[in-house]
Amino acid sequence: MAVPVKKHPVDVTFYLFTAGASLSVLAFTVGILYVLLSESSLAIERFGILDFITSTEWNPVTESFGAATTLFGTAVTTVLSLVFAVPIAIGVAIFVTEIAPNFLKGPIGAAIELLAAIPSIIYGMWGLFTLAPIMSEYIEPALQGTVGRLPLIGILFEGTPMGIDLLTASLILSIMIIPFTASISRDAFNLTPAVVKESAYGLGATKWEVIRSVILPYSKLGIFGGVILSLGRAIGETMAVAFVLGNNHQITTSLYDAAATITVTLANEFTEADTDIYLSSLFYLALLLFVLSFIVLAAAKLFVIRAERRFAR
Amino acid sequence: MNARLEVNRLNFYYSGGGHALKEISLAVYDKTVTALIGPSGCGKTTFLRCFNRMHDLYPGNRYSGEILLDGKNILDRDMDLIWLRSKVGMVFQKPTPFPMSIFENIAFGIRLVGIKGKSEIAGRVERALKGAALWDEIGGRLKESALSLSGGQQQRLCIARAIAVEPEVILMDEPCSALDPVATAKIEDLITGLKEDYTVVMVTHNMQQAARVSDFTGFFMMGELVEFDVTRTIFTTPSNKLTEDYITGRFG
Repeated sequence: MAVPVKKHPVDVTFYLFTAGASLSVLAFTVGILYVLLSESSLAIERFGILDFITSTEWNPVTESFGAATTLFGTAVTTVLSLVFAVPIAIGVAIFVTEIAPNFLKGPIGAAIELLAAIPSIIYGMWGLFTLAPIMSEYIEPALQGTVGRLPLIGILFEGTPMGIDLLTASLILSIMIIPFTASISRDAFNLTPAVVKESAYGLGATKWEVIRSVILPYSKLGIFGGVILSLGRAIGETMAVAFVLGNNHQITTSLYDAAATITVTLANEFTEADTDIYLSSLFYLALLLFVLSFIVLAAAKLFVIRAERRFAR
Repeated sequence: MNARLEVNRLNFYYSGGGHALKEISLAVYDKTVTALIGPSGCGKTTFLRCFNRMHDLYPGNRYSGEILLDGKNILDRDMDLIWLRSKVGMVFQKPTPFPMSIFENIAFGIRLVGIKGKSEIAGRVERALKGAALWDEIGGRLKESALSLSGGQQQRLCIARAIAVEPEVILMDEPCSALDPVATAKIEDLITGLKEDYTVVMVTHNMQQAARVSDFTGFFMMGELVEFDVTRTIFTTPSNKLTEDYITGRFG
């Protein structure tokens, strides 16, 4: 028999307050999902699920909408930005945890966290006014003249280097997520027990050998979780890419072409949506983004939990 | 008897300024087991970690005096630490298997000393596992993760990993403190066998263990070496009152 415990009224109030706060978050999420579902129901009925995802049409005039072009833009910018960002971020994390002298570790760590806090619109502005001209004037022509001449991958660098394209957008995005990925990778590296590192050094390993053979294998799950979290950020990022992507609904083979992502389309077109089906299709895109982000974040969480469980000994 | 390691007036200061070892002088003889005992915080582990310059991994730590390994002062500024650590192996308090297969755990150190031939590595892995009395138990499971082994097996794997590099000296920092009595007995047998080929220096909190396996014992207190002698002498007729009080359990 449980002994009934008399609860202090302050405790009860505190319980109610904190529980209410927690539940409200859940309520907001469910509410958002409900609005997305109900607002997009018209488009879901008209275009179905598979047809909407695979259709490359995005034509307000004929009222024919599909998500393939924006999914393409989202996928390309996200994957490409990760390809640029992850190696650099891991390099930063290794330097900060293992290589930098103590007096540098603090300042660099703080700088990374500060960079992660810069609002994305600022990255977007910098991208438009600084990076895009540099890209179109120097980097893109240079790439075209070199790797652009190679067979197979040359096709990626065709067209006029305008600087407002998939490549620039991915680059901006990667710069934006580097600090984020670096800070998560740093935490993952710090999970490696000091005594395991010492064992490797104790066998006569150099720093590089310890990092490659002990620390990286120890942290790979955590890093993987961090990469997926970064993927989640990149998928949902709007303002950093809105200025430099060109918002052109097309599937292209060249990175020098303009494109559109789900987020950029939403930001640009809500004000222009003059028909019910146009508006509903935009909500449908938002719903896709919601589901996509949810899956990505859930996967990341799973990996991080598994990494922690494995090494929390 | 030949001294394998000769410590002369060693002082050690941690980066925070703590004077952890004061004027330590002793000799570690070739192919013997030397036990370091003393209350917690007395400096015995700090002392052990001087022999492979483990303290150098953390900036600001400082040594003075000398430790001679085969006549060479390993505290010299231009000492090659990679070389030193291949000559002076270490086994830690808790088993520290690397997150890779059993085979790779041992091959890791072998490759570090520059051996690349596949068959030679395999031969050395087998010899190391046999040397650590593990071959019969896990010789057929070399591809499995080392993390799947029991604690006692993991610790013997760490010993195998240390001897695979063929060092001259093996340092052990309370190698049995995380193990049950059965696993402890196995490791103790192993240590006794190891001195055929290696010189062992071990830190232990367990005085019976020191008495059972070691040939020489050093008793540390507050960063000083109170007494160093043949183990039997330390445990039967210690010359210092402090040593006697400690081994009879009057403090510590």
